[in-house]
Amino acid sequence: MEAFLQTLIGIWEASGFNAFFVDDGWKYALMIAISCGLLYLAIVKQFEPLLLLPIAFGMLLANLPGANIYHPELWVLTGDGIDYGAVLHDGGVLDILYMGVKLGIYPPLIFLGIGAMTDFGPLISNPKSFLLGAAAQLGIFAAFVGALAIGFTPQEAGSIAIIGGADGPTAIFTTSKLAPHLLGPIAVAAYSYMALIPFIQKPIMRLLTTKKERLVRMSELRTVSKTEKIIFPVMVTIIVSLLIPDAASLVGMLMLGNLMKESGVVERICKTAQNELMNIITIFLGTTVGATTNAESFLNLKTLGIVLMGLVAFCLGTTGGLLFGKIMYIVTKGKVNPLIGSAGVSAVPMAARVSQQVGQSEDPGNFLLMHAMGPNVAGVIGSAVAAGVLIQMLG
Amino acid sequence: MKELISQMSTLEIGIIVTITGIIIVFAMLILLVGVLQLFGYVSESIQKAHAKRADAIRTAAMAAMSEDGNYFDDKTVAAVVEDNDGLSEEVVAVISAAVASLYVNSGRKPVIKAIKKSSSRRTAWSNAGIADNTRAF
Repeated sequence: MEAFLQTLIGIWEASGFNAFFVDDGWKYALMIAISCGLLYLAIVKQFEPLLLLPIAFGMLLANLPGANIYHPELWVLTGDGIDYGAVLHDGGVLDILYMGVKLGIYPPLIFLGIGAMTDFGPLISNPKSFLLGAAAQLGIFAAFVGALAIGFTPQEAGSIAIIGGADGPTAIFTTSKLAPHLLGPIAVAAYSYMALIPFIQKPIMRLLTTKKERLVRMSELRTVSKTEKIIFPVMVTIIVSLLIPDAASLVGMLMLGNLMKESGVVERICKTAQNELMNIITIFLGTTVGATTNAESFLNLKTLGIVLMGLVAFCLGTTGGLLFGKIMYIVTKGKVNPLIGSAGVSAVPMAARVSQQVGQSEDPGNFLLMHAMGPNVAGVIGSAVAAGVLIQMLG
Repeated sequence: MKELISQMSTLEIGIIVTITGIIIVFAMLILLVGVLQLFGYVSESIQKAHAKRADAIRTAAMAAMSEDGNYFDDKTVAAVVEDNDGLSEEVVAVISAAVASLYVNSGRKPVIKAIKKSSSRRTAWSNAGIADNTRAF
């Protein structure tokens, strides 16, 4: 009888439930509750479910005491760098998959799929949209200063600031290079804010524009030839990669995907990039990024700072795009609707859709969607360039 | 760069990175604007040249048609229109212009004797499919 009881006690002590009552074990329980909350947002409220669901579940897996699916101690930087041999020998499934994040492989592959699904026609027909895409990146640099002011290191501040670009893969790519220990909270913040775009942007758009400006109807865009759409990705890759080499992997893969789509001669692999490849990488990226959000790295004041500064970066990015849109409205004597400026953040196509919705709420006959798509896709390139600059200066 | 940054104070880092970053992002995208606008200008010029050439061929065909009344006369047109319900004078003109454009630079002047609808109930694609499937081995 005693042996039986001892066995039961032994099983209980080895279980994860017991770990909740030992030392700071309550933090694991809290993280599991947070992951369940994020799962609720992803499934019921449909906040960016494609990424938030695997991130939330990765968070859940990483915070199950004793499960050892992910080993944060294997990824601590030592004098000799990361011991990948130990990762391969002692790592769990999420450690092996996490190598794709650590080595900067997954975000460029996501960009490959994004490029294969993006139409750059509205941007090519109205190249001035690039300026709105650039203006929206002002939020990144303003948030960088703010993050430095509240005590983050320059590398941490750069990783937090890139949230303002509203581009998940870029945020993950930059953070994995500059501040990998903040990857979990930054990824959760970035994707949560992307899902909240309609709620965050609309009040700012109404505040910074007048009714007269919102009513502007823009002239029809010119038709873009197939030749232009084929030459565009090659040209952008050469120009950007030669000037900012650190942006080459993101911009290059984005343009490769786009070239595959526009050339029309590689339909099979284009379909793979749009579907199967994107889906596989999304699963691996989301789950492993979520797994980095263990209790020690997530439940601290830094996470609160990341959440707040991320929101500031996002708002400032929207503001920068809108203000530049107003400048273009004045310079063109009322031909440009400033609302399309807010689409300069690179959350494609949600930000463009928000511009359309706000414009249409004032004038049901005003169709701004294709005009807003220009700055929207320009923002993808702009945020990749900004990330390249930050990595080059701070990495 | 990293050594330079590590020697600066937090304020200096903030200012330098912000100003440099904004300038580089804007400069890069302004460069892309310039290249794209130049590219668009060249592309539009080529497209206009193509359209102009196509117009010239069409105009020459129409001019050749109207100069030489042998292409079709009112009697032929009336007969065609009468024979074919729903075949309007405009359709006759389009078909005639298409025929004329084929011969415009050949020096030959075709004469359209009649325009009749095909009596086959099947479409051209159906006929091609049947022909393909029933071809002798």
